[in-house]
Amino acid sequence: MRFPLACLILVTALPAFAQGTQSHWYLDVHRFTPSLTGYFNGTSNGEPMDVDLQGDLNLQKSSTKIGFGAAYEGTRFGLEISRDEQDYAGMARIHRNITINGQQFNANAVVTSSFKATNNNLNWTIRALKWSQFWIGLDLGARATQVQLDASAVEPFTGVNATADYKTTMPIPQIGPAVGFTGLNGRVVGRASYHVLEYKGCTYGHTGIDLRVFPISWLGVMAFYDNEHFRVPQGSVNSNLDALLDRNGMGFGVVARF
Amino acid sequence: MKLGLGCCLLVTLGLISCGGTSGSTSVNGDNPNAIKTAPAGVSTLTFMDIELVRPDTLTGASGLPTGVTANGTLSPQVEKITPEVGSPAPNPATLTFNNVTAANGGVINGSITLGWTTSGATTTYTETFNNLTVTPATAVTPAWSWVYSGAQQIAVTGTTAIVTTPSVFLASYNPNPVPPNNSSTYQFIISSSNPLTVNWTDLSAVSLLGDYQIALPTVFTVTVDLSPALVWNTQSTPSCGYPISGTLSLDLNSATLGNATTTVVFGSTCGQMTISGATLNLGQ
Repeated sequence: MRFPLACLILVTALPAFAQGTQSHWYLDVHRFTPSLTGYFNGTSNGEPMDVDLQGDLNLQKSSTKIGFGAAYEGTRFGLEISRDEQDYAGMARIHRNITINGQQFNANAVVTSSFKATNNNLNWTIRALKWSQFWIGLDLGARATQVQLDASAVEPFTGVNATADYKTTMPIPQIGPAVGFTGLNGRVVGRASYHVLEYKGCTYGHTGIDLRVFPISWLGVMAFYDNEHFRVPQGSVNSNLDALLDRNGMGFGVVARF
Repeated sequence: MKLGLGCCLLVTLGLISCGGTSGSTSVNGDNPNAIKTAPAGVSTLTFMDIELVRPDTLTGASGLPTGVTANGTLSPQVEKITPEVGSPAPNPATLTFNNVTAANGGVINGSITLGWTTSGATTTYTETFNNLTVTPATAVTPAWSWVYSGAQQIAVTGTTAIVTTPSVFLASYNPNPVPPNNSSTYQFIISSSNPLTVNWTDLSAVSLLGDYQIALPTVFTVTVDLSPALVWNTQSTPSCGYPISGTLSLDLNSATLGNATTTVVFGSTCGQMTISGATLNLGQ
């Protein structure tokens, strides 16, 4: 405990010795459409869960709302907030019995489902080491991912229409190294980060790469890659739930700089 | 700098405290026709129709008049066959159904031939369904129909009875009599090894126990276990022809539909049952 705290204090203090460059504000709109895989198996909130998002529900990308981001990139630190939202939809004849929030859907039912993911991000970057075109730092932040799974089906055996919805919010601290660079007289700006968390057997990894090109000094385009892996094995934070969520994809957007 | 770090950590902790899980589920019978024509519904509703004439009502059969007629909606007149005093009944007798309400809300027309033999303390009745037909109560398109043909035997000893189907009993469903006329013919089976047993020692709790099967050959078989027993109260609710308690446990075995189970639970409200949690009213 003392060692990580000492490291944190050291990293926090290092920007005092970093070289300074120009600060910028960024505002962007973007579209991010990651793939989605995962499953829930066990008990959540006292209700049985046993469903695979792909294997059972065949969830595919449906629609993506325009996301937005705002960032301040200073000489010693950066601060970002962003939000994006994705919808997935699926329709599949299930080949086994599945259970969502205690509601069982029997094999051979045609299940119509939707999955909505909303991500709110707040990230503070401490630029610990900084050179004229390159910096190394530490991200400290949080990402709140809210997922909502809805499913409905007419049971082929009974003809009964069953529906179930499951909603959970997963606030996840975002802590990890980050690097960034500026090139071509500020026309190209990039950063990469890796956020990792392990807690009571749960593992979380979040890799992000962001590249921005400014043909005009105040207006540019952005492309980013985002990979997120969230695994909650049975017996960890939730003793009866085994869950996995993987999201992986590219995003594109337009960014203003001033 | 330290203030920023503190704020960031506070926000992080705040977000963590916002975590939570919620959800809801529901089942509904918003499409009763889908329930009635699904395997579980077929297995329940045809059974209710075929066992409409309860064994405890047959004990007066030796005095049955010719052409007992059951008219109108479901009523004790159907279940309770009261012989006319002093009218010797022919053997067999005929039970005529004239627009009697069926479990699926349609109307039953046709006849059942009822014959009986007595051996010692046991009288064995044979009910032969002569294409007893269920059609919609009002004209609908397509004009679906159910036709019951076959026989079941009811061996009555005192206030108990054993019900079996000695040969193949058929329940044919025709969703559309107009060509292509794609009817389905189900087999209704009560085996002698595990028959239905009826007990009316206590008239306030006439009970029906046992197993039966509904099979659509090559498609599926539904095995139904009556447990706890279906119970009629012929004293406090004599006008109710449906069980007021009891459960059917249905077990589907199908190469195409897979295997599944469900339960049908009868409530104290006459004719009301739940199937997989969804409510369905019999006779409607």
